[in-house]
Parts: sequence; structure tokens; C-alpha cells
Amino acid sequence: METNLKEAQIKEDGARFTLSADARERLQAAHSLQRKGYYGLSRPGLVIGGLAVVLAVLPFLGIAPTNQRLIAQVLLFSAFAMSYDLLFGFTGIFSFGHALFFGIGAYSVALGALKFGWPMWAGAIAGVLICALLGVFVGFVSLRVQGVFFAMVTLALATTAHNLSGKMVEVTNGESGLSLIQAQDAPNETTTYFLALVLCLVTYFGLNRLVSSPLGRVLVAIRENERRAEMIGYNILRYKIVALVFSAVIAALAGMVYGFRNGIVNPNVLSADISLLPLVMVILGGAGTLYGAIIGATIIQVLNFVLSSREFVDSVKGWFIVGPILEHWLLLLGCIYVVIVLFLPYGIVGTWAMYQPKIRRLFKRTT
Amino acid sequence: MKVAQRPNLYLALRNPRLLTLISVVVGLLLVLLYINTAIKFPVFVKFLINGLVESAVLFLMASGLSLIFGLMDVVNFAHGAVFTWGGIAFMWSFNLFTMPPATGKDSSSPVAWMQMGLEPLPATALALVVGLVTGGLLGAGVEFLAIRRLYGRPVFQILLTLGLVLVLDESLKIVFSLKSQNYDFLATPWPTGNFKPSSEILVNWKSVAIVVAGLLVFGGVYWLLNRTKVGLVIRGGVEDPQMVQALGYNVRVYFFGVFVLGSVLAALGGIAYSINSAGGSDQMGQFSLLTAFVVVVIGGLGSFSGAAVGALLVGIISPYVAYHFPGLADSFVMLLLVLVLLIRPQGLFGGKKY
Amino acid sequence: MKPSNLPTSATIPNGPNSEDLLVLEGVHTYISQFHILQGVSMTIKRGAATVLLGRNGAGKTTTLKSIMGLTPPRQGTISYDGQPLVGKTTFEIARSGIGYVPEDRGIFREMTSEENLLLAARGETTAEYRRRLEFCLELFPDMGQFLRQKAGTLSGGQQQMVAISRGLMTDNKLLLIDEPSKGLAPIVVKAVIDTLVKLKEHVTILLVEQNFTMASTVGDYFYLIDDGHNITDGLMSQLIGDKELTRQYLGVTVK
Repeated sequence: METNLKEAQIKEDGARFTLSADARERLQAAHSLQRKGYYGLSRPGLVIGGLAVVLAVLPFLGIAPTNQRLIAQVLLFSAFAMSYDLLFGFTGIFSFGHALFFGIGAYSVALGALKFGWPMWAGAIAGVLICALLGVFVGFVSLRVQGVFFAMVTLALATTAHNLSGKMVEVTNGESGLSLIQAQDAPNETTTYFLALVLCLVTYFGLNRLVSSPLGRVLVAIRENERRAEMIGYNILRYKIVALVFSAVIAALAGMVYGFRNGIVNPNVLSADISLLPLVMVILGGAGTLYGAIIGATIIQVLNFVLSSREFVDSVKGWFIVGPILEHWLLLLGCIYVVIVLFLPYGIVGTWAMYQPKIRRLFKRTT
Repeated sequence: MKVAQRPNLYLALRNPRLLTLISVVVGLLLVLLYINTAIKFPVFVKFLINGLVESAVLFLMASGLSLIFGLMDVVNFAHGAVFTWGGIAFMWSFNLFTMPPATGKDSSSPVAWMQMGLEPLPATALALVVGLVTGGLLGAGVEFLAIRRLYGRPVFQILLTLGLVLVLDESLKIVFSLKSQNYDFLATPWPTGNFKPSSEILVNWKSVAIVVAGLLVFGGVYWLLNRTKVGLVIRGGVEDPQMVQALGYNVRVYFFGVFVLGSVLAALGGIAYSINSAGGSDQMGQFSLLTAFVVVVIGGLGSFSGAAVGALLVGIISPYVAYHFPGLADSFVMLLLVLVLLIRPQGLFGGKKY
Repeated sequence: MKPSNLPTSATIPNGPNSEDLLVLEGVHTYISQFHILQGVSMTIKRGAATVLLGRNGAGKTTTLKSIMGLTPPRQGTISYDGQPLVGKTTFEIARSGIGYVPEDRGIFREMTSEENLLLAARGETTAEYRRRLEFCLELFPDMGQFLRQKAGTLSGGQQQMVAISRGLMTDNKLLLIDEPSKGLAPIVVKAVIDTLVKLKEHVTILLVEQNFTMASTVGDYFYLIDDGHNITDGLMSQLIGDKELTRQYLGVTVK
């Protein structure tokens, strides 16, 4: 009884700021609902598949180029955010330097094409290999420290890479960056769009498969209780490295598509802002669900697109207090993010899963 | 157990912390002497002075972090933003205070009253107050809005304070209507000028002021933590907050106080940084936070004197690195962080498990 | 469950002025979803030592924590010296004159013993602190030897001395002491018993104790609780005579 009580107290300490016990159960039910898609498609899987079909025919129906570029942006950031979700949402690893992989992916195709004259696919393979190896290296040396310390190491590495990319002017052209448009076999807008679509789909279904496999269960076990997972006999360092490598490779691919989409690769791809974006997206959508990451990426990118447009900025100018906030996209992003962390710590998906039964009950037919 | 513990040279030498300190100092001296053989003596002294000033700036920045992160175990990413706010508020108000009184359409601006055309000394003093109060208010706000409900929840602290960084960094640009990344002094703050201890060595008075400020802060905080009841309450509160409550202390108030003090020190760090480099940028906090983190980790979490030693170490070495490996100057601290975390994650003085 | 055969205040022989210092009425306390105290009522007499008995997990520690406001009760009233305690924060409760010696002794391991005592002497002048320290040193003459030592390096018995002394560093009228014998060698337990007997002359004590020797030597009154309910209470001498009760609820046989 007394040990039970102590555990209960510890649990209560842990849950004080978040969920009641039954809400957490509902959330877990929602998560397992999503992971049921092992052999067949789960509900989010069906929705995403359907959306993919629509998105695949859109270019043939004559979509406006701006919108096509926006959708490509959404898709590639969805993949990037999902790769982050594998680390943060499923394995419980905090990284502040995910831009490291994203940026190295982008730089490897750009450097391969412009400095070594490689074809695009060679640069892409090189980028994937480099990021996989870097993932092993970073994981091996730094995953032994936990929590904020790992975050700081990754932040330090990404900051170093950011500094170097700006300083090594003879290799990277410094702040002005490398223009991929100059490369002959750079994919055009529509090809980039399809690359982003395929990347997003493969990432979603691949990671979905991964997290519902035995490997994925170990990752979740590590997130839930690292000590216990270790006691059971799993080599948690190895599992964490595996997660990091998968995540790094996807981030690198997303970075490449980002490079194609922008037509230019400059030190911004390694900046702290890029590291922060997937975290914000995952938190906003709901960590540990994959499709939450897609929702988060969509909302953030669309908001960014709308709010940064000249018409919008002009229209809100002079509004009291709200005006300056809306004008500064990052400030608004920060405010949204703080509100989400404070009041909806489980993101849109998690909150929906918690309140779904209540909302259903509201609209229940009375007989 | 029968013998009362007295200060005893033998016992003192067996103290692992002291041993580490001595070996670090000796090692550092050896390294410096080695490098010294390659460069001339005045350059050596110049580097040493630069290093000391650098250390003082680093220490001012790291001291706040050492209190908040090292002692109270709160992960506050907004610390860097407070640093920037403190520095920019100082420069901004100093610039205003030294401006001649506003005339014409300028006088309708809400800050026109601040244009008093003051001399550097009173303007610096007033601006110092503005900068420190800004830091304190920001710290109070962050504690009140965010940290208060998140003690002992590092994940949420990280997530929330990261968002606050975005908010604070952006609102900084609005509040001080920054036009570009860099922000400069329009006049030179007190103390100006320099003196020459020997014909080849030149020391700026502002460097002296910064080092003195660093020493004062070290002495003050050390005294507060180790010699006063407030220090006892804080140290006890970190170890077992419930028991301190049961002894009749309102731990929250004390924690709030430490958090605000840490933020004031961060602002002071920003001010020292801006004075030292005669200007600043809206990004200065981000980089300094990483550096301060390195310093705190090197010194060991929860050890205030450790942070001072860490600051000395990093500060004195960095001019040499910048001299010998100019390309590495920015990355040096990052690499040091990675190295320290991998080789001795508990730091030089830390007893904690990280 | 209603407490049975409560002695009326008239039958209490040695309460110095027959006054109730602390009264708990129908206290219900939850720890997360566990309903730990399910209506505990107690009356602690001024100047006497009351022992709270019961099996593991009966709710003894939670009773003390409820009094201190560390696990605030959801229902019921607690009044101390005529003022209600429920709804007050822990530090306010402590300031009203209740000292708490928790189960694991709750000393600050990173501080020296002296610093522990200094911290406990909240708002006292140096002279007053000296006077109280003298008193504690009289009570625990050994403590003088480890005042400058880090409390984390002390033995269990030494830590217990510091913990109890801490409760005496301010003007506390009531000391809540939770299992002082836990984890101590028998000879040390004996010393603690002697101290508590001496201490009874100065301060009212509410003692939670599993060690029946200590409970019966120190206590004047007892309360027996089980599963968060009052079972019975009365004079300690009555309990010592009641073999059936002690066997059933305490698992001890009294010689």
C-alpha cells in the first residue's frame, strides 16, 4: 500500500500540470487507434491517402504557381516535422539542432551539383549517407547525456554548422548562398512538387509502419520510462541512435526538397529558426501522432504565407496592439506557441482526442 | 567522528574540489606560459587583460544562469532574451538621456521627456537603472507567467521558454523600434578613456569597470548564498522545498526572488557586453546564452564559484584561440561545450549526476 | 466509523490545564485518487504526548501531513489553538507554532547541521538562537561534535537529533514527530526515547510510532487508526492492558 501511494504521488507530481488519468487513457486510446494501421489503413491513413490523390491531380488541373509552391512547402515541412516527431514525440529525445540535418541535406545537393558537377541523385545519395553517418556520430557521442544537455549539444553543433556555412565563403558562397537554378538537372517546380508529395507520403506511411513495429514500441517505452526500458534489457542508446538516424535521413531529404523549392541554399537552412520550426509544428499538432505533425506544419506554413503577404500586412497596419503582433510573423508564432504549450499541451490532435467523447455527447441524438 | 572538524591544511588538500581548482589553475598557467613563448610579453599581458574582461562579461552572464539553471534547476531559454533586452534597454535609454531636449515634432514622442542632454556619468547611471529594472521586470514576468507552475518539469520549461524567446526577441524590435540587427551607442558611456601602466600596455577604464562589476557581483551573490539566511532558505528550498515550507518559509517568494535576481544579472551581463563591445545586436543574447551555458556546465551545476572559475577559464583562453585560430573563434565555445559534456558532464565542481 | 469509548475530558488526569491544543474533526484526505483519510478525528491535549498508532498504510503519516497542509484535506476541520488550519498554506501553519519532524527526517543533506538549525530558527535574534541551541545541546550533548559537519554525512541517529532540534529552534507549541525510531539501532532508539520523555515537559508532542516500546514509554494518550478510520483511543495505560486490541491492530504482543 505504501509503495503504491508513493508511486501515486510521483505520478501525481508528473501529471499535475497536464492530464487527468481518464483523459490520458482517452488520449492513449486515440493514439492506439492511429497505430492500428499495421496491416490495413487507419482512419488518418485513409484521409491522408485521399488527400494525396487530390494533391497528385492538382497540377494537371492548372493550379496557380504560388499555391503549388505553398503546397510543396507544406508537404516538405510535414516530412521534416514528422521526422522530428519520431525523435520528440515517440522517443522523447529533445533536439534543438534538427536544422543540422536539414541544412546538410540541402547543402550536399547544392555543393555536389555546383562544386563537384555531380548529378542531383548522386548529391542526394551523398547527403543521405552523410546525414546517416552524422546521426550515428551525434547520437553515439551525445545521446548519453540527457534532456536539456542533449538539446544543448545539438544546438551547439547546429550553431557551429551555421557559423561555418556563413564563414567558409570559398566553399559555400557565404551568406549569398548557392543557387541551384544554375544546375542543369535541377528539378523544375512541378517535379519538386511531386518530390515533396512523395517524400511526405513515404515518410508518413513509412514512419507509421516503423512506430507500430516492435522497434517503435521500444522507442515509446524509452519515452515513457527510460530507466525501466533499460532494466528490461534494451540497449537504449542503440535504439535512440536508430531513431536519430531515421530522423536525420528524412530531415536531410526534406532539406534537399527545400533547396529545390527555393532554388537557393544559404546559411539560413542551418539557422536556429529552422531548428525551432519542426518543434513548434509538432507541439501545435500534437506530439507522438505523426499526422499531428502534418496538421501543425500545414497550419504554420499557411499562416506564415497569409500573414506575410503584403496585402495582409498593409491591411492590419495601425490596428491597436493587434496590428504590430500580426505584422510580426515570428511574434505571432511565439504567442500561438506559448498559448498552445500552456493550455493545450497535447496539441490539436491530443486535445481533440481528449474532448471528442464530450463533443460527441453534445451532438448525440435524443430519442 | 569524535574530533571536531577544524580548518586543517591536510584536510583542505584532500578536498577534491580544491584539488581540481589547483590543478586547473596550474594547468592553465602552464598552457599560457607555453603559448607565451610564442608571443611577446606585452601581447601576453594584453591578452591576459582582454581575457579578464571577457571573463567578467561571461561571468556576469553566467552568474544569473548559474542561479536559475545551476541552483534552481530551471531551464530558462528566455535568459538570453533578457540579456539582449537589458543591453538594448541600456543603450537605448543612454542614447536618449544624452540627447539634447526634444524640440518641434520630436517632443510629441512618448519618450521625449527622457531627452535630458545629460553628461555621460549620470546618463550611464540612469541607463544602468533602466536596464536592470527592465531585466528584473522581464524576469518577474517570465516567472509569474510561466515558470511558477513548471518547477520540476524541465520538458515544459524548455518548451515554454523557447516560445518566450520568440515573443521577447520579436517584441524587442517593436519596443525599441530597431531598424537593423545592430544597435549602437550614439555617445560613449562612462567610464571613458584609458591609462597606461607601462609604455606598451593600454588599459581602458571601461574594462576596469567591467572587471570590478564582475568581482562585486561574485562577492555579493557568494555572500548572499553562503552567509545569509536567505541563502540558507534558497539552498534548502532547492533540496527539499516541502521541508522548508514546513519550517515556516514561503519558498515561492524566495524562488521568485532568485529568479528575478538571476534575470537582473542577465541584464547586467547584457549591459557589460554592450559596453565592452561598444554596441550590440538583437542576436547577442542567443549566442551568449550558449556561452554562459558552457561556463555553467564547466563550473558544475549548482556551484556558484564553479561558474566563476568556468568564466575565467573560457574567458582567458578565448583571446588565444581567436589569435591562433581566427576561423574557430565563434565555434570554439560550441566545441568546448560538446567536449565538456562528453568528457566530464558533471563539470569541474558539480556533484550532481548530470 | 465513529470513534468509540472516547474518554471525556473529565477523565483525563494529567493534562496540565485540560485544554485541547489541536482538534481534528472528520478529516478526509486524498492523494491523487486514493482516499487515504476517511474521516479521522483527534484531540491533542496541551502538554501531553499523544501517540498515533496503526499499521503500515493506515494513514498516520498522511494525518501529520494533513495537519501541516502538505496534503491538504478535502473535508473536515483542523483547529489549532483556537484557529482553523484547513485552507492555510504549509508555511503559515508552521508559523502558527507547529514543528514537523518528517518520517525520513527531512534534513538538508547539503548543509551543515548548524546551518540546518540556523534555517529552522526563523526570525529569531542571535541571542535567542544561542539560547535555543544551548537547550538542544543539553538535550543532545553529542550534537556539539557534528555541528560543523555536512548533515548528509551523519548517521541516522545524529540526523534524528538535528531533525528534532530543528523543531525546537522556534517557539513551537506542538511537535509532530513521524517515526523517529525508523532505521535506527536499538540503542539509539533508547536514547531517542529518553530525549522525548524529557522533551514532553517543554512541548506538546504528537508522535507517530510503530515501535511499541517507544510509543508506550513516551505516550500519555493514544489514537489507533486503520484504513483511514479511527478505531479507538484513550489513555496509553489502557492500551497496554488491552492485549486483544494490540494484537489485532498493531501485530505486537505486549509483555
